Amino acid sequence: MLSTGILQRLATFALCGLLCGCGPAPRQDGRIDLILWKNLAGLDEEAATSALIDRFNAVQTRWRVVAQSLPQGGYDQSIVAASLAGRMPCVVAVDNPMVASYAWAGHLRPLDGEVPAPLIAAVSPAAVGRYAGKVYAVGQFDAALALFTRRSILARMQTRIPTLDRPWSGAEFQTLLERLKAGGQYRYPLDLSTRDDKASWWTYAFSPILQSFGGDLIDRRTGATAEGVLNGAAALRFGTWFQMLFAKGLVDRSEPDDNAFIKGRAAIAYNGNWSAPEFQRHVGNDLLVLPPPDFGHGVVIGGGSWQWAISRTCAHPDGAGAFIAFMLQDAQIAAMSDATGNVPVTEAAAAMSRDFGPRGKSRVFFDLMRRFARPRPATPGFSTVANAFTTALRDIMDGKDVHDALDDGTDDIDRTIADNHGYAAK
Amino acid sequence: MTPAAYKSIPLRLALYALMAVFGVVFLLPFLFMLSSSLKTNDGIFADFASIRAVLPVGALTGENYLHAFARGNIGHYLANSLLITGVTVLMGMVVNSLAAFALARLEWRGKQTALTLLVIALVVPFEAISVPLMILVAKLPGVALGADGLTMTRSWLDTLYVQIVPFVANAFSIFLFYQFFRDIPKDFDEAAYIDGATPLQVYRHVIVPSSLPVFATVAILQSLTMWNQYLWPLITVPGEAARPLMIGMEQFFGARKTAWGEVMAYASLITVPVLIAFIVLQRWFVRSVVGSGVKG
Amino acid sequence: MNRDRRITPLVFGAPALIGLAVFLVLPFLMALVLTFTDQRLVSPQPGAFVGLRNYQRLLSVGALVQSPERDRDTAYVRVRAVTRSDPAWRGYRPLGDFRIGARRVTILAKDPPFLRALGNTFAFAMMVVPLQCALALGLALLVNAGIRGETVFRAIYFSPVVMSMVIVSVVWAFLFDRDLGLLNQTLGAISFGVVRPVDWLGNPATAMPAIAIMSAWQGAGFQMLILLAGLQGISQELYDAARIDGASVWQRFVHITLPGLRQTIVFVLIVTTIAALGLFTQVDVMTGGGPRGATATVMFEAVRHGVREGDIAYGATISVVYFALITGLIVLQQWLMRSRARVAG
Repeated sequence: MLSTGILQRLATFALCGLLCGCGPAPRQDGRIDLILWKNLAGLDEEAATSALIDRFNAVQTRWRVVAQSLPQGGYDQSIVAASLAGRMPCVVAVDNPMVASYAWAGHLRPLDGEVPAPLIAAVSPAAVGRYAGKVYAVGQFDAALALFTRRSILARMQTRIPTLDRPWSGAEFQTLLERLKAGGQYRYPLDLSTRDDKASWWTYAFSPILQSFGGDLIDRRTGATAEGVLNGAAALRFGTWFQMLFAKGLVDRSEPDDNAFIKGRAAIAYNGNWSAPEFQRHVGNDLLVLPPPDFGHGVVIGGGSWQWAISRTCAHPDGAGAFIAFMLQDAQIAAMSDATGNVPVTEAAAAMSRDFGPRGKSRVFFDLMRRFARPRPATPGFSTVANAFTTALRDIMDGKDVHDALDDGTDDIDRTIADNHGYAAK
Repeated sequence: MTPAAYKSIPLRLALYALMAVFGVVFLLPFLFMLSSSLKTNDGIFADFASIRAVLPVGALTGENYLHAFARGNIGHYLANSLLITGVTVLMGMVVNSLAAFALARLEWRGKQTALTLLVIALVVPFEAISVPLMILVAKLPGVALGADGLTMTRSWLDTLYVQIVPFVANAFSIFLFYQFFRDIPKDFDEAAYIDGATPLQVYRHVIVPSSLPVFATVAILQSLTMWNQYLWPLITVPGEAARPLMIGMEQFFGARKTAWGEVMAYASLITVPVLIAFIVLQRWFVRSVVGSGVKG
Repeated sequence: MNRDRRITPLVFGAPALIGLAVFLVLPFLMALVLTFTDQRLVSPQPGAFVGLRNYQRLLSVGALVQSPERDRDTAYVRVRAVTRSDPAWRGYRPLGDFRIGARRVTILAKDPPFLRALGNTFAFAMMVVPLQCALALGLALLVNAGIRGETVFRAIYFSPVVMSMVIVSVVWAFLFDRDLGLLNQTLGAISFGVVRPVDWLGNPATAMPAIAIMSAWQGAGFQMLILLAGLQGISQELYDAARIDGASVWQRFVHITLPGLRQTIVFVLIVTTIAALGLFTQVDVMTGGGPRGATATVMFEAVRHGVREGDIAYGATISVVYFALITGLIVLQQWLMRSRARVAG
């Protein structure tokens, strides 16, 4: 067959290819490399983060941050695999709800001591990842949920425009929706983006409303159970309300595409600041950004986006801390917000930014975040909590008995907590 | 069945029509993928509801392909996938055919048990062992070739060889080889043994040359499986360096608005070369399956 | 020479043996051991031995009989009120209920999604195996009919096989879309609007059939080639003789083609069935087990618990139970065939 010479060369090439190629070639300039892993986000965010890293590498000569982007879909699995292999990067991006889980599992080291405390103190609470009294992660930006509608619609309906100080009550909101439906112009007046069936969206979007009703995902004081909280009277009211939205045809079980509001099929969209630019482009000055309704316990929106943490096995935590401290400078936060449209997390950065200053066009999102954002519960069992909540809510949407659905969700959560012995520390 | 000459014209037309209908059904998803790869997200959704969905009409753009190459890092992932597929298939052919030879042509104690175990092994779905296997390879000491030579690492994870070594020995391949070897007349073996050949020589000079069809079939099947691997690299290869093509596609999902045009472009880039390879090798492949007597 | 003969098979088989032992048998044994623990994928707590708890959680089934509450002859105590308070029924969920006279009998199980997944998997196999194999047979017959241009069609019919299942799932998710998908559009056009748009993937009744259709589309080409091989192995003379005897097309098919293909068909059926029982990728990519668990399969549940939720002990339990079930079925089928042969012969 093939001559042995060629075979040998092929074999060596294959062998080399198999074994090499993991990690960049070390350069000879005395800098210490810090590996950074982040989730693969949109083009803007990628570019902005690269620019940020370049700036950090330029202002000092001791460290060099080298970044790798991982697909967001399997991000958690990647972290698990890296941890099992003992190959965690130094700086790692963590989605806020997962901070508790990673901290409990021992992947992360606390930021105290590596990142100056005043910097963290200035950051909006929801953008800080805390667990068991320690800070493990902090983010440069957050997001804000809001109701989007058109001024012309509210004028036509002769409904008042709610403000952050005087939001709609649950009853006002309900009346408006039913009148919109009765008018016949909108097949499903409210778009809740139910098309996205991921647990991350459903928990982020709808557990705040649950909290506005007075319920919650788990008892945050003890973190030991969801009983009475996810299936108590307040939660039942929430579930019943949610089911009624679909039963009365106010919300579609699954919109055919993401453009219900833009195309005028829906009058009101419950969405986040990330959709604002596109809404603005299509709706123009008619666009109104409103706070979600207050269902009895105040307006609540979701909080906590992707944040930065230091891995426990990082050989140079001071370098990682230096990078995070750099990122938390107001100028850097402002630059990130300008490039991506994400909401900055400090007052000063907002003032420096283009759109989130006191007179900026996106200021409302900063105010919403500052005043109403509440992070999801810091529990290591968050994946289970999110899945249980989402399953329960989707079952409720499909007509399952509300009490039964919430009881099942509560039982799943409680059982997982019990299986893990209450997530006691090591 | 009956050769064409016996068929009347209307019957032939009817058969053509039938084949064409099936052909359209089988081609439709392809055309959709290819056409969508040339449209923007808006274009895809606009054309969605009609025959336009499968036709490359409207505002066409090559942007998606540019993005797929630029953002998609396709060249790197392609090299990885080629390496993984090539090495696994080549090693697999040797290892599995040798084992099948031992089962089909040599007598030894425990052969029946081995055969039974082989059949049972065919039933185990990969997902069933994927997690324990991952834990296993996570703790196996590995090697890496870096600037300072060969070093030991703590785990096999995040490498190319973790996507290769566990799949070289393959029960289904052994089974196919076994079925084929069994059908080869033993006379040639006997003659060779009488001439003083060792079993290895019998394998090399008698069995292998008569078995090209089944080698080809096994190679093609294993190549398809390795090329399209998804769950395993997802849980064992977090980093970019060893990432294969299928996982590369993941990067277009997850972000808030999926860039469907890019997804389709990437999918087309992965699928079309394999398809072309198949079309070119088609006759040979069919002959190999036919000849390999894969009949049960 | 004799010594060589004894160690040679071991040498020949060694690499494969080691490979299978380390990467197939060992993980399976690990999984088996895992089923008796509460080990999680990532946890600072060490795993502990829990005996049969995982099996109980997976397989426990029971029935709760309730009489109507006094004074209210159509109301019963809420099932969950009972299961959440009575220690005997702790952890059970209702699966379905029916009435016997005035009493209500509720079937309870500790893991209804698993039982549903079991049903889904077998239902899927029963849908896709006949569909895919019949389709493959039809295509093989067509392509073998001796008409020019067959190779082109053969390539077309085989092409889905080379597509990765992930890509196929993504593309077909578009085609199945309720409002805008091509499938509904075509059905509506063909039937002149009589057939209303079907929410293929959103309706529990149609979701599994939809996946079956897609899987048959993807796999038929390969079985077609195998059947083609079998067809070409049937001697042409048989057909000629039959035609001379005046047999019709149908008779030739039933009495020559089918018997000649018997072994091949059995092979194709077995391979397709085994693959169908391991269904995972399509479900994972297209429906995530929904709607409401209608498309969850056993392997999907195993991966969901093991990989996604980190409960690897429970995921392993599902895999082990499933494997035992399938092996049991195979052994049963072999035993039945052998006993029938014994009776016949």
